[in-house]
Amino acid sequence: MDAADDSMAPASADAFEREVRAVFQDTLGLIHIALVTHYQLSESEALELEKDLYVWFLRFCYRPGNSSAREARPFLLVACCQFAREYQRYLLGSGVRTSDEKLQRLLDREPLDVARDFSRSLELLSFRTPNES
Amino acid sequence: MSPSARILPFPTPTGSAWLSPTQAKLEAVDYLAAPFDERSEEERERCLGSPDILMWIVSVLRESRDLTPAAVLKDSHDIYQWISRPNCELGLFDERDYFLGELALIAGGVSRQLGRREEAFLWLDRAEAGFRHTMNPAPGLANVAYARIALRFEMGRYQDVLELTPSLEASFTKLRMNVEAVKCRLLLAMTLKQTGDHEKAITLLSGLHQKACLTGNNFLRAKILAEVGDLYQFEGRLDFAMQALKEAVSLLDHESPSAVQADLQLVVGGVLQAQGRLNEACDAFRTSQRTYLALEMRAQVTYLHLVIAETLLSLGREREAEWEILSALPQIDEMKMAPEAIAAVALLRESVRRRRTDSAALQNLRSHLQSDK
Repeated sequence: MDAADDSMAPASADAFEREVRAVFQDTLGLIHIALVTHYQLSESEALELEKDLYVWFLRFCYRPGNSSAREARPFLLVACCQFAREYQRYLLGSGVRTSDEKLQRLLDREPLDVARDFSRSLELLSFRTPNES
Repeated sequence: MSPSARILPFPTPTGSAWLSPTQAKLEAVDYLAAPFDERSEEERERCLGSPDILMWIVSVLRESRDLTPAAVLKDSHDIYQWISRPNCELGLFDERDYFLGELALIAGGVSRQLGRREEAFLWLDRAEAGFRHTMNPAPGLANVAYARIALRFEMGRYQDVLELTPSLEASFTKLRMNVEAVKCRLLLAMTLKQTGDHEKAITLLSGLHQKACLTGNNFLRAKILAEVGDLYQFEGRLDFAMQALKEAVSLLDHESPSAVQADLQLVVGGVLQAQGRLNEACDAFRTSQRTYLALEMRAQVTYLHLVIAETLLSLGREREAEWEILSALPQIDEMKMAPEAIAAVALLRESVRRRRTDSAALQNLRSHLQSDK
């Protein structure tokens, strides 16, 4: 849906936002694992980044060329990895946190590649819940 | 956790709050409605610094391209400059690049409409640079590719358009950007019209205006019908032409004056001329010219002076034709024209000076402007 769409009456905007929120909620478990387990963010840091990620994703779905929130989900995962990577690099660069080898290896990888791995997990989840698609 | 550990606040850019679409759209409309010179820096900061409002500003500008191209160029240029300041932190993640891409794309499109091709190419390069850094660059880059092909069309590079457009249409279809795919099909048909392949063009456009994705998009539907009308006119099927044009006119009945409307009036004039209804044709051409003038589309205004002059000559109204030509010449002098067109201008100027208008030179120059406008 494009913001230029004339159908952006309040009701349809609400429905659209509900759809985006539902897709985000569906993906949130995976996002949280990525942020906390893989990128080693604390729970409170992950929570803050998730809020920003939601706002970004909502606006992202309004851009021309995005036909549905569900199809935009891979981009959400890439954004998640990039958010987390930038944040961790910022902390490491500021000297308030030290890195271990595992984290460093992850930070050295391109977010797109990391997200691709996560997307595979997502496909696996979809496969396990056929009613979802 | 180490006792010295603390959560370092990550620099929070503007735009991590969410405004409702209704509220954001109202703010966007208010911002653009305010006179350009009266927008304060605080107002800029508040509206342009909010991605939610900016999203709607971009949307309103996109919708206004055909209605007020000069104003849209001014606004998109101004906002682009504001965002591209090195210290401007806007939105989350890729949003700054995205907005730079969208605004440059809009500026490129209206620069083309206003006949400012060099500027249009530069804007499209800027748009590409913006979109390249976004999360999902494909839709934006495809739109840039379309704008570049449309420029090539206007420059008369029809073989390039014929080669590149089908692939772009396929990209839009793959991206489910159906309206843009229709625009590609229309551009292809317009190119086939220029290369004389009228039948193929008519086939391509057959039923296109009835596609479901165009529901509510009266401008594009009217534009398609105008092209169908023009093609039938070339084929001498004037009744079919008038039928298509009447349907197009009815679609724009309640719309504000636009480039599409001016194009349509021009085609209607052409059909009336072909039917020998020269006075009515002249009226249609003048209506088209007034609309272009209101939209500040000067190249088209100049072109129409010559079209009207030709019609007036056919009506035996030489003196009025001379006035039309004299009105066009100063603008023509400012255009960068090919040497053969310059020769035609000289011949025409001389013939008008002698008060014996050279209709061949007029027709020659009009053809040059037609491919150049």
